[in-house]
Amino acid sequence: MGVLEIIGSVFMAIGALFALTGSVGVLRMPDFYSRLHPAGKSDTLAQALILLGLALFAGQQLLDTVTGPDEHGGHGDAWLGLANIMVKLVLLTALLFLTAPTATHAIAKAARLDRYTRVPVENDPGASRVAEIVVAGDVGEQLEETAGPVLDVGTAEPQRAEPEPEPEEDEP
Amino acid sequence: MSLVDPSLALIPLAEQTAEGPPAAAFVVFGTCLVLLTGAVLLMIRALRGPTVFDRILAVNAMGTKTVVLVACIAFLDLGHADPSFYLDTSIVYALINFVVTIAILKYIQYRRLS
Repeated sequence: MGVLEIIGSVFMAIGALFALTGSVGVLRMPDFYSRLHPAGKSDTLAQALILLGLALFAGQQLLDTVTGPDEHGGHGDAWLGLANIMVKLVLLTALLFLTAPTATHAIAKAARLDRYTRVPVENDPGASRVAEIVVAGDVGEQLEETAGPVLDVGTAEPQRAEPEPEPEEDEP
Repeated sequence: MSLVDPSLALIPLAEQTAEGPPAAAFVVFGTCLVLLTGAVLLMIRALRGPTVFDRILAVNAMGTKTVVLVACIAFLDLGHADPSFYLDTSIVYALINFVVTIAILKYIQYRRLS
């Protein structure tokens, strides 16, 4: 194993640890806003570490191909394919680094705007009631959302029972 | 283009087969197993999440784990296959995962997609 493979193995081990920690946190955290924390942060770091570890594996292959003994009088196009793989891995890392926190933020914003959601009744899986997601330190009604006309979803009353048509809304 | 060290080509074939797969393949395989375990835990949360946002969060995290898993599977057989197709697949899956999450959130909030 080369030096880059050892560094990549360490990266992938740390990334796998973060991925498992994030999954256990999503499963075990008590309420929804707590679950956002492991899903939003540790997953982002885990995928970055694992993909960079894979890129280091490809970099070790590239190093071996370039500096290794060539029996055939040339290296051919092998280095080009390995460089292609590394570029794609770095692109994938950057893409997930942009989209994963954005998706988590969108989920948090949607849940915050829709504070009254249906939760199942205890010991009665067939029924459900409209209840509030209880958050410690939540200021509740005093918090005024300065939302624009697009994000203005109405009052704090639960309206999920029947979505009546609203003729006066001015969305495009 | 293989995970096997190029200096192994100088060693006779019998010692090469006794070498087995390279150590990097074991690291990639272990990472795949850990990612699958995490996906199973997230699936449990997606099945019993009390609110719909828990389910969306779990499915989104499962999609991220699937992207990384596909990229890891690409490196399992690096000696005999070209992993760039798997990486194309995972880039497309990352884009679709993001768009699907935003679309489902918008549908839940406004009850329509336009």
